[in-house]
Amino acid sequence: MTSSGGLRGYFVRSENARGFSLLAPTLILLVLMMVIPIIMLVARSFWTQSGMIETADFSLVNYQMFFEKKIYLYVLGKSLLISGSVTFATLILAYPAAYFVAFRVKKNKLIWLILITVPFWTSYLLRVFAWKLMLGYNGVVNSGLIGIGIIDEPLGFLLHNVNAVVLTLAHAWAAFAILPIYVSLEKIDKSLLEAAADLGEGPIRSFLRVTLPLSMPGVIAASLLVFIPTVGDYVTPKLVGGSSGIMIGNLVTNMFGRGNNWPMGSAIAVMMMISITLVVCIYLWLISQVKKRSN
Amino acid sequence: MSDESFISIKNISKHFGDVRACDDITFDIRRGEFFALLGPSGCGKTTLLRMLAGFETPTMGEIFIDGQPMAAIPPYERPVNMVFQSYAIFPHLSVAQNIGFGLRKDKLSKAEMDKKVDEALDLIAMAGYGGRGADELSGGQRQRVALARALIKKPKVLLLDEPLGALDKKLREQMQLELRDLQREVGITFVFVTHDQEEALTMSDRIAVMRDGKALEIDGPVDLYEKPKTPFCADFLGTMNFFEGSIDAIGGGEATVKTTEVGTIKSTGPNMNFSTGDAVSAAIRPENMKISFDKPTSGSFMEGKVRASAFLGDRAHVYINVEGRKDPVLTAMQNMGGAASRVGGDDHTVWLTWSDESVILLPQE
Repeated sequence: MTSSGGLRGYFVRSENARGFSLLAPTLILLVLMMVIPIIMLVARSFWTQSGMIETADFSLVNYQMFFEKKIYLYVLGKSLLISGSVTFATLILAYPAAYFVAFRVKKNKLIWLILITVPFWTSYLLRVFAWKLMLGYNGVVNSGLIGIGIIDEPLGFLLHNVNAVVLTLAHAWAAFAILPIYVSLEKIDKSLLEAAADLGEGPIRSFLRVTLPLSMPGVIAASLLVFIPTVGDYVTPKLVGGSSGIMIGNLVTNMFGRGNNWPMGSAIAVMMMISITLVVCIYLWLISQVKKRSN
Repeated sequence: MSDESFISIKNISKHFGDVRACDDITFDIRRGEFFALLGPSGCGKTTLLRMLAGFETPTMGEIFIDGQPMAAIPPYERPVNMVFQSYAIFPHLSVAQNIGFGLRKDKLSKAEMDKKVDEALDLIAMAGYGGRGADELSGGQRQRVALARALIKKPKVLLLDEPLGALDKKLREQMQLELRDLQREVGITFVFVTHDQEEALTMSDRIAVMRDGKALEIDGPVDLYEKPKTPFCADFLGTMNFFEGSIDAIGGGEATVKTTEVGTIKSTGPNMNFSTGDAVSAAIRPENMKISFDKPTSGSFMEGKVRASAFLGDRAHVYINVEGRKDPVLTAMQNMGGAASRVGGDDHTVWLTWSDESVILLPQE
């Protein structure tokens, strides 16, 4: 070989060098756009703000405030609950759709998968606005119900509450849940379902004993994909949540905006990240316990 | 219902669109027998097995098992269990859980269930493997687990879909014998699908040879091999030399065939129900054609030249060119005392001899 020396030879010989060079673009981007900002965020959360002046001295005052003023913990808890409901609702909606495409669609699966992603062809903001139009006081649902004579007055409880947030987010994130569940269902060997039937189990029991456990990796991936980003969402609660549907992300944006207290906003963001991590860890631990129990 | 027709397959057809996977099949399977569905891929044997299991619905016809019509009975209520070609071992369950999977409905206590599973593990000589995961098993072990999982249900019929296809040759031969013994031990009717004629001959009490969605012949292995009634069956089970021609004279258990390539061949074998002038093939098995280095003085023989020989260790296949015939005649000889090495090189003149009894008359296709 002529290229046994020099830089090229080094690349040919070294598996690590080749691996890192493939990884480099992503790595650089992540370090610049994720790691450094997070370090800055954590650092700023220990600063203090009084009036217009930001003091870069180490202080726990923001965290003290976070735990003393009940509103922060309350909104954080509520955000986790809302996201939990969103995740649950999304899974309930996504699983049958994924099941249908995986087991019932024989031809043109790709077209079905593309159709599932169609909502993503419009912007997130537009989709949230669409729900505002649907659920509003003079919205599609209300005027439709009045039109067919079921109600006389528009229903006021459709919009500007937690339910509207859950519904909108579940719709917005459905594809993120359908696709991983679909992949894990698609991988299931069809003869396993026949074997379950052969061994005396009807459709429901076969599903519970074979299909569902084998699709759990997809369900877990889907729930994490939906739960983690929705906790911090602030667009949907702002537009359809009203005052009762406020989430932790709204508090953070307030602190970085009108509140003009970046250190406090940073502290709230850090607490949010920590709590998400904790919830995810507890969730995964619970799943491993269930798995151990069933074996 | 009788023991003779324990499983009764009546005018079963299965169409997939324009394809007739099974085409008006009718036959019975006896209680307690080891029955093989043998045929090349696409002959409909697996479809027929899947209809017995209930995974496919017949387009026409009816299936009875132990006198009971199966049409309205879903797979999970049929008195049959299946060993799948891929074994279909549940990957998320342990060996013991796999084997005990079908016991839920029996409402057994934990102790009774463990006992049954342990017995099943003993039966397949895998005691102590209960805690293993499905991914920790070898191919042969997976096959045994699939078998135990089906047998623990004590089905009336065990269906096996190419059960040994995924195993290597040595293991396959060992499992053939084990399956055979197991079947005798448990006394359950086995119906198994295979494309391997040797496997079918070794294991079965009776074989249904299938082609193009039809059951061509059903008989015991010895009769199927020695007295085939169709050229396809004769060729699919083992190998066969066909000499095509027409009946010159027939009667009194004796027939002469005027062949198109090698003169007349006399037969005193099976299938004498032809009449003069019928187009037939005189078929002779390779092992029934002996090579002689001197010109025989009596009996039936033909002259030829050695074209090639294939040494197979315990025996040798010798291809002989016979004047007037396009394809060489195949003979098989036992390599007893190094006989195979004396055949000599190519173009060696030899004589082929056979007994008239071994000539089977078959209709032409």
